[in-house]
Amino acid sequence: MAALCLFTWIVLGGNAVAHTSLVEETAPADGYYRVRFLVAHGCDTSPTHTVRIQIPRGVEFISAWHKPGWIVNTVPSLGASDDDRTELVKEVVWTGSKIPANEYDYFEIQVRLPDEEGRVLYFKTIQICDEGDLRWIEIPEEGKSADDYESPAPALTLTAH
Amino acid sequence: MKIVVFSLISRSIAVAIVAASLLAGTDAALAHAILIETEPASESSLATPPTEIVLVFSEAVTPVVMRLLDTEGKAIAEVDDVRGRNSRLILPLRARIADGQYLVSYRVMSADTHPIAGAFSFSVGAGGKVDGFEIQEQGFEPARAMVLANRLLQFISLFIAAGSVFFLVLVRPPGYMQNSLRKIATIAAAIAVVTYILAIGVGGADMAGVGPGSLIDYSVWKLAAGTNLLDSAIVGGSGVVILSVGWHIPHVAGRSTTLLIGGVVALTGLAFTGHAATATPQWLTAPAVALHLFTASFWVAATIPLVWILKASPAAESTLVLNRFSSRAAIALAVLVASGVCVAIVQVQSFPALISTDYGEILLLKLGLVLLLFVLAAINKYWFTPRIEKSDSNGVWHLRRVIHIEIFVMAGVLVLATLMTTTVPPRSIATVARQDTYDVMSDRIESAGDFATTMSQQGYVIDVSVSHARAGRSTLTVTVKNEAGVPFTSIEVRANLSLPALDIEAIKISLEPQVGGEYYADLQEIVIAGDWDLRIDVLVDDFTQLIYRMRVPIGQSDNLETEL
Repeated sequence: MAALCLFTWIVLGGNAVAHTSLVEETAPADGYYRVRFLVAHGCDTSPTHTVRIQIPRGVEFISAWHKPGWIVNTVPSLGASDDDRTELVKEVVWTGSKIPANEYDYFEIQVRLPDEEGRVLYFKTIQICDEGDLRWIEIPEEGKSADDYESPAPALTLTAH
Repeated sequence: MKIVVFSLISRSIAVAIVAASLLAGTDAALAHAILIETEPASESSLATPPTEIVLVFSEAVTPVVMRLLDTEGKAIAEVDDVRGRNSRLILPLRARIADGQYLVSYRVMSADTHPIAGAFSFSVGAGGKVDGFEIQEQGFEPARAMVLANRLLQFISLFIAAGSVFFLVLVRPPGYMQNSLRKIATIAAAIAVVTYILAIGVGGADMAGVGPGSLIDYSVWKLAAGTNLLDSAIVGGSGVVILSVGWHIPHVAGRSTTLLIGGVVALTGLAFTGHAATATPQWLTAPAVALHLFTASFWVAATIPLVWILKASPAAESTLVLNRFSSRAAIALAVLVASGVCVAIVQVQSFPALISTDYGEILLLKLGLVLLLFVLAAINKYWFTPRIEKSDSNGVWHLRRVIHIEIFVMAGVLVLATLMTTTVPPRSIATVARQDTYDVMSDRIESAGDFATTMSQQGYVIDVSVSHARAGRSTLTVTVKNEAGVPFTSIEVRANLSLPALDIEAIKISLEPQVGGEYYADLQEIVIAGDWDLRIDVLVDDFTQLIYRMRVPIGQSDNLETEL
């Protein structure tokens, strides 16, 4: 009994602490790159049925990596882009399936990163569950880091080419 | 000349003493009352039924109507049961009320006889959301229009009746003119008495919120008779009677004094109702209002004989009277302006209030018209009066024209002054804003210990206030606005409080959205005094959360019998 409790506590406790985050937290600036998001859990016991990821300013969205069972939609940004040939994508949305509350899943997008070494890109993410939602949208204030927050936005730091 | 001045002064002193003693009878420091708080709170959902309904106003009021209604409109408790004739009105509920939705409808009267009415709803039990009532906006009330019309007529008739007295005593027009003046003054006096009496009836109709037809209903008059409308009518009416007597007795020794006392008392009746003469400091505002009324009536009444003089009199006589009038009028003008500015400062209190409030705007308009009057008077004095001295008939014609225009502008000023008597001055609004919230449990006002701040980020401004900032009894209110000051509906507002000094981790506070774009939370769990770190998260859109941080001092709780 005690072992079961301990086990449950470790598994669930561990999951309760895990944020939705990036698998790789650094990437070289100015190049094509696959950003991988790890969704670690649902809303308490409720499964996730929608994932929305906001594309930061300066990042060009190329395509989403296909996930069987899921449908991908993009939301264009309002306002003109410099380049009239392509519409800038502001948000990518996955729907159509569910991630059980206690399971991991990956979501991947192919982007072109801006040529700004040292900049931290925040890919704000919202998980919408059957009951409730989780918003990973907190950006650390001056003098603080992501560890100081409960729901920090997944962050990608740009390094040299 | 010296003798005349001396006797005038001594008479004025006698009159002033009479006026002062009358004004001392008016209630001090009473303004337009405003509803501050209710129990149960508006649109709240209660688990157990309340045992009483409490309305807290900014100052003492008299209840006219106070009813608890159920969803079928049936009255469960009514005004006869109301306890407390001060700023806290308590309607005890004799029987336990069932679960469901209720509406409290009230109409009360503040000391300046202005009615305040409203309604709010609450629910008891698992009924949940309060949405069963449609509280209708109070539209145009004919009773209010009648009050204003009667008041305007009152101003005009009183000013002519009393002002003619001042003109007679100060300017001393020729004998034939005095006869005509007496006739006009008598008619005006009769009208003035009628308006004083009518003011009781229409005031009662306004208070009770009924239509003009109810004037035949005795209870409406009885209602108003319990207020200072009756005092006003008695004092003002007596004054009018005295001055009428003064006009009709022969030229005996005490005639002028009788006339003056009558004129002063008649005008003083006006000060009994209305908020100007009761503003603090009363030693300043009461005399200021009195002087303002006296000098204004002098100016208004003077226009009539002046027009006659210019029509009928030979040039030499006209000039004499005009010059005499000019010199008196200059002093009267100075007093008018000084007293007006005094009262305006007390009522408006700050420059921004001048342009941002209704009262301030009407005042500015009135000042504009008064300025116009100055210009016209100056034109008369420096341009046309000299021409009359030279027996220039054109001068007479022009002077009369200008005086006609003056009469027109004066009418405008009187209309605005009438409107101001039913508009809430910034002084009253400021009183409520600055006033600490009443503690509904006890009768005392909670003294300071309130925290308020405004912070701005990315174009979103939040107003944060923690009231009763004491351990265990504070409440938090947050309002979100954009930079233009327009309330903004955010998706969610959350807060958490932590006390780093004692290593207390963030206590999560959930804020409930209220009517009017505010978010409210009870901070009952914050039971320890100290400098708490308050963090407010405003979710302005799906992906944008703004974080505001501030330090809130929370004081020691005072050990009161607050729990029931």
